Amino acid sequence: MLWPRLRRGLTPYLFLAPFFLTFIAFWLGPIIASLIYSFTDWRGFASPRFIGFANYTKLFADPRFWVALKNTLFYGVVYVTILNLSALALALCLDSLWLRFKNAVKVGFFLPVTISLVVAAVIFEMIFAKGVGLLNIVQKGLGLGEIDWLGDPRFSIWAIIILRVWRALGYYAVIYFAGLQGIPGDVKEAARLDGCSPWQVTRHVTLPLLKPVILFGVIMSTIWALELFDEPWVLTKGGPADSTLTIVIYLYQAGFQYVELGYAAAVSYVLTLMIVAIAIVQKLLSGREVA
Amino acid sequence: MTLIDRRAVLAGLAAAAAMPAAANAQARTKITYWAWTEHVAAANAVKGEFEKQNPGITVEVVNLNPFDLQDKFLVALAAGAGGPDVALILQRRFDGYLPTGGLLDTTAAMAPLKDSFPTSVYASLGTGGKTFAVPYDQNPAVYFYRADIFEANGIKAPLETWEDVVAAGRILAAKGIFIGHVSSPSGVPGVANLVQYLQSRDAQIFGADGKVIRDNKLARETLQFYFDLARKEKIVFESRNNAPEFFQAIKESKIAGYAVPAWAVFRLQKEAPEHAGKWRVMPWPKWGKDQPATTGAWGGNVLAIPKVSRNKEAALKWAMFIGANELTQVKIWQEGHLVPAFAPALRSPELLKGEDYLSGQSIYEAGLKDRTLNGFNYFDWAKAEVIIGNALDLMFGGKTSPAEAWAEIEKQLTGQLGR
Repeated sequence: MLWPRLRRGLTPYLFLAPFFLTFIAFWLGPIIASLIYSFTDWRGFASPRFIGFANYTKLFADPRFWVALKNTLFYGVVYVTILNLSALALALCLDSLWLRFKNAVKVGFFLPVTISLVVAAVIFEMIFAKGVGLLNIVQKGLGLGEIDWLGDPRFSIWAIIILRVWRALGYYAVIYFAGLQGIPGDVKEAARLDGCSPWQVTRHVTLPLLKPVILFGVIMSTIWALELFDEPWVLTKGGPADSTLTIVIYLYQAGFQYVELGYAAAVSYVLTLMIVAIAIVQKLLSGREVA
Repeated sequence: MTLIDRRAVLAGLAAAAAMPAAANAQARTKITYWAWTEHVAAANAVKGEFEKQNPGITVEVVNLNPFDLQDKFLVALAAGAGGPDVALILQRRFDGYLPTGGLLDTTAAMAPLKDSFPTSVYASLGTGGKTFAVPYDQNPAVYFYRADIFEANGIKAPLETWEDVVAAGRILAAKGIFIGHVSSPSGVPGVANLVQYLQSRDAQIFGADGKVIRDNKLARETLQFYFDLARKEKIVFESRNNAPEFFQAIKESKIAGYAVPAWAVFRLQKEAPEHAGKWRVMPWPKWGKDQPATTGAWGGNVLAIPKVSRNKEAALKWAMFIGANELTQVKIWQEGHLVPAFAPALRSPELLKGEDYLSGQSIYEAGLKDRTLNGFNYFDWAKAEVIIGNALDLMFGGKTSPAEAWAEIEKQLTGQLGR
């Protein structure tokens, strides 16, 4: 009598077990393990030795970490601002009734999302090439002179920003466009009937109603920005002179090139805490009405 | 059941039990080999012969980006799993793999062949009298030049010394043509490029004991020379290695010289096929008329076998087959113009065959045969490359002078590496 009841009670847990087992093995386990390793001198070859906060002390004393942090934050602020403003503007254009060939424009902007990074990097290497690149040809045509986009430390991070915005714009525009489609038409219609201009409708009706979606876009793009690795790694390997060194490249070098795994774990925890802190701040700044 | 029947049944059972073992004995051992581009082509060209000679072994050749390969292999050694049976390792990074204790000891296999390799190559295979790799290739540099441009400007090749190169470079620079190339910003290839200059002059960065050489006058002077080629003399083209602008300048005949290892002939051929017959090769210039006839190198490669390989014996056979075998070492020259490390292969007439792209000139005969290659001490090179590369970038960025850049390199190498 007891067993059938117990069996019925266990059944849902058995169905849920695969998820929890994989979650523990591949998510929770490594998260806890890396926290423990961050307090050790583990290099992968011998047993780890507990060294307290030495990795964290070393991290904050390393000038390259501060360069990586500065680059990542600068990139993050610029990239998130440009990306979200551009994506929002594009989504508003797509949402407007007057835009013709709407689908063609959507496809055009979304295509870069589907292109592999390697292909994109090859294309942009040619675009950014010193002297003979498309960008330099246009610049010279406009009388703006020549810029060594990938070779000059003053511009290399901007080259990465341009590439990343190009790749992500379509994705975020689609998110904002979906958000705009969800705003009831009668609200905007009522505003128009009350005499609001198109800008006033956007400013006072559309954007406030879109705020949760904007917050989502900003938080997601911030997280992605702080995890920047692929583009600078493929195009510049963090150079020249560490001008495109990001925290994740710094982490990669520590972990996979120098095999200082305990130290790399400490870097990853600092990065995680940064992401959590920034996400909380963004949520607080966005106001209560989003919740 | 009679006694005979029982015996027959038992014999049958025993035979059945033995069947998997027999099947296993006949099964082929599969080994994986990690390499890149031209080395993959060379391996594929000889693996058929290897499999014929070793009927029980098949080789799977995996093509990886060379830098990804180095990182993945290092992590595989640390993890004790996930690696190949044999990996091609950049000689300059090999030092970093030794402390892992994860490499197969090749001392016994290599000892009888010690005299078949250049001393510097053999010395780089391990530590404490033990070897943990099999040599594979060297990457000595030559100097490719545009014979038609030289001739049109009254420049007589081969240029014997760097002084001659500078003099010829000035003539060409007046016409907007560069006589060489400097990697700037540097990155890893840019550091390798500089090392060619240092090595050809025997200007070491680390002593044989692994300590950073302090107040290194020769290295500092070499860096100054390297910098002056670009900024004072303005006779070399500055760009990132393999950048589109570099190949565009090659195509437009704005670059008339290229000091790189022999494999670069394929790169020239691919990027500027229309220049067939115009390029030639000469040896690396000497540092003075009475200075030794040496060359530098981009850094050779060695073959390493992880201890955790399940097919160590087969892996060692493959490594010896491609690293210490005349037939295959000649093949790596034919397939990729990789200079064999195995000395008997260097005597093969195949190395003297001419290149159509160079109007029948043999790269080995014209550019390498009369040059010796100094050894170069690489230590903690993954970190050292970043330190040196950043200092070069700041120097070319106008933030430091070559003397300051070298002082910074010494300071950072000493401080960060503890050497």
